[in-house]
Amino acid sequence: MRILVRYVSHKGKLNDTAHEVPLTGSRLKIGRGTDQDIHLSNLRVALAHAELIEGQDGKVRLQSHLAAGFHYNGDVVQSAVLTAGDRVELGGHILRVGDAAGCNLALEISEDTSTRGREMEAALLKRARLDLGAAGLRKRPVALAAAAVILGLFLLVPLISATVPSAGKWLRMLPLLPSDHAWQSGAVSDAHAHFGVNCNSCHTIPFVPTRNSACLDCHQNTPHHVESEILKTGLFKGQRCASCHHEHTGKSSLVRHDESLCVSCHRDLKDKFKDTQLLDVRNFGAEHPEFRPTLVHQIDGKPMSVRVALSDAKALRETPGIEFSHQGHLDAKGIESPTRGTVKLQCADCHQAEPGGGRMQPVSFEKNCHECHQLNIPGDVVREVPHGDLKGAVNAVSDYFQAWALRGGYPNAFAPNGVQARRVPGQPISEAEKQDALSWAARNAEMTTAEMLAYTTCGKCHTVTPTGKGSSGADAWHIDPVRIPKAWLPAANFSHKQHDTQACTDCHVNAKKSETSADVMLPGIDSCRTCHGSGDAGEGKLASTCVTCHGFHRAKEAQLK
Amino acid sequence: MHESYVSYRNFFYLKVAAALCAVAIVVYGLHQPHEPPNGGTWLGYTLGTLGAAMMGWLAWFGVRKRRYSGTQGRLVSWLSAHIYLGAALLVIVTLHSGFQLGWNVHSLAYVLTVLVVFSGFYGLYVYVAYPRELAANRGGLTREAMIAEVAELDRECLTLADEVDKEAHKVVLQSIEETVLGGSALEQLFGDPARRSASVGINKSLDAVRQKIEARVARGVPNLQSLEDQDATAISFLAEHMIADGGGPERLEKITRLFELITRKRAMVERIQRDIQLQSRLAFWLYLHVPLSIGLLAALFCHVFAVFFYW
Repeated sequence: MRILVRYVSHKGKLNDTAHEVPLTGSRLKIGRGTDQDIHLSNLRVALAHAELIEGQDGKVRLQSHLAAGFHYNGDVVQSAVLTAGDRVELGGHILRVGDAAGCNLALEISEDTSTRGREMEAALLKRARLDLGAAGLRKRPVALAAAAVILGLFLLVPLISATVPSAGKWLRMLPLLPSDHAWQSGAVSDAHAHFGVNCNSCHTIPFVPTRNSACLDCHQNTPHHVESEILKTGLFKGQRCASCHHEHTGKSSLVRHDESLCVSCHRDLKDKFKDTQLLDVRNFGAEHPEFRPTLVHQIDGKPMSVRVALSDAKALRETPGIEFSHQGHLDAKGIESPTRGTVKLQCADCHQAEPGGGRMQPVSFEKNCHECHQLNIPGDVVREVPHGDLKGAVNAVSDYFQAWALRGGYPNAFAPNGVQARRVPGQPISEAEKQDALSWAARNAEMTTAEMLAYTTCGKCHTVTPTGKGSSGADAWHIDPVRIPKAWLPAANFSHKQHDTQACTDCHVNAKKSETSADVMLPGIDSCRTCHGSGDAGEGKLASTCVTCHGFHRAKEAQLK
Repeated sequence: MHESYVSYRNFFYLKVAAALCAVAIVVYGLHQPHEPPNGGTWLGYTLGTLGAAMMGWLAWFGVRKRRYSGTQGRLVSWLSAHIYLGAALLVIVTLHSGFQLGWNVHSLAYVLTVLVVFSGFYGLYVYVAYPRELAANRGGLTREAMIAEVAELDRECLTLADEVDKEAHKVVLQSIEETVLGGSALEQLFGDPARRSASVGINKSLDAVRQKIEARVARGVPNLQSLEDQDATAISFLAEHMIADGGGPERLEKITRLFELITRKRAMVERIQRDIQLQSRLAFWLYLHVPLSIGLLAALFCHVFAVFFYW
């Protein structure tokens, strides 16, 4: 190969001097030594530093003899094939590769004057990476990338799934990619979990709080808290379903159990609604009014509900239209049953909770009274009159005696002979005997009916009065209808079943002593308070808030929708 | 007079932050929401707004510290407030969360907040722990002076080696070219400065050879064959070659001088490596703190956006 070496020495901007040396050989040595073909004077050049070697293809390779190598177009390498335009730095010298006529290469060699006097230091610094920035660590690009990733994954992707239903459906199913579920602050309540996977079920309009219509799509029959008339006062203006019912706050907190919501109005309800009949309340433990049971009285011929305070002993009398003594029936020695001998009655023999466990089922004559109180026609142990049907009962008595009159053989010395005598089959009685017998029957029926209604049978429990309309027949008598309230406290939910660990008389303390059905045996609030305290009741008391007994959505006619 | 950002104005901002936390904790303790504590109660919204405002202000520090002629108070005051109010943020955001965590953007913002604050704590730790070590290592020299000294030693070594032998020059040159100050981020942070003073291998083999030469000079008759050449390095070959070539006490003196220079260089390189390590450790926390902070601001935006999007 043939190399044209051009040595350039800088002695100032305009004083560069140069001399050219053409070299020939298959290997040309480069170094500081005097025996080198290309002589480089810098002390940082080894005596035999490198070699130019001609390849088979005519290309020229620069090969370093030092492990540290040389800079080839900015990279540190051990060897490199030189072509025109390359730049090599070697021991403080710069070798520029170019073309020259008749030569493989031209090499322009100059000392690196940019660091003249500080060559060693410059070389040292060139290899060094003195801080993290030089080592490639960056703050700003990493920060921007992190922000971009977060905004992409947690803003853009959820936004797409929230606004494009078909995309949302897929994104919510994909395991790793977030969807608008990543925006969910807490678990959906159990009640709403079955559709809660789709956020748009409730969140219908972006940036607008959940609207009532979303709730009422399902809860369409939910009654309001108060009737329409009171609603007009604007007491509930601005309230939303979600004002009270907070979703995403835990599995079971959808219904507010605290007192504060109710008490915020009911602590001084008259200030908000002056016509209210309700008394103020702040908590159950200390600031709840005494119970005021609802009684049913007959007023102006019509049954009317009346609330009477338990403390008002004078007014606290029921008028149930039926007489009953708990004391008599619950005699500790027992009472005589016509079929079972002596029976000791228990409360539960008559009072059974409704199937749901809440209130008591109404006491029924057939189930609870009839075993002892049979409605026999006097003098007959078999025939009974029907219960609850005055006309039927009166007719039954009349039919009974007419049958005897026509059949004869009635076993009573006071009856006419024609009625007492046993009839011979096929032998008709005379018309006079017939009239006599029927007149006996009518007399006896009227007498027996009066006796049963007024004294022996109906009148034993019911209030029966003659109407004055004739002396016989159903119209002649009036039986007062029974007025037993279904619940003394209709606005409260009480479950007898939940309290069945207690004896009945723990609460209904006077039940065994009561002689009259006018007694109201509802226990007072203090009885409840032996176990139940306010919402903040500590140890020893059951924490009980408004919704423990009362419901909110209770209006009879006003609905939310 | 110099006033530390830690104790600035008699720990004024520590007191402010502590008072803020105490008030938040007391109100949280007294607050009895009708649902599990969460960011959606009035206290939750209040703490969330406060936390977001604090985050914005704390992030503004990144802008403020670049303004050398700030009109809004001294930088040391800002830094002191940044540290203590940033720490208080841990309490504020934890109470804001109501201790509810889940796989969602809200908890992402919370976790990032915690990471940012702890990366800040780490920064505070290194600023307390490293400067003393850094100053002790430098011993009054600047890094530039230390590098200049290494360069000077390099030049002296080369000159001396050149006088010794061309092989010696080659080996010393090699050792110089292989000396790399600093390096990759991992090398800077965790590399062993002593091991990474590049001449160590050379120096070790030189040392072994010197002992052999001294032994031989003491005996008067060099005997190459008796040498146990365990360090089959270029330098040991060189040294033995020199002696075999008739190297006497003059060469030994030059080689000994070379040893001294290389040893000095090695010590200086080690100091520079240690200096770089301490400096990079001092700076590294910021490579966590800044990206995490910007990531947190992004997550915070997502968090607030999500809250009001699905209101």
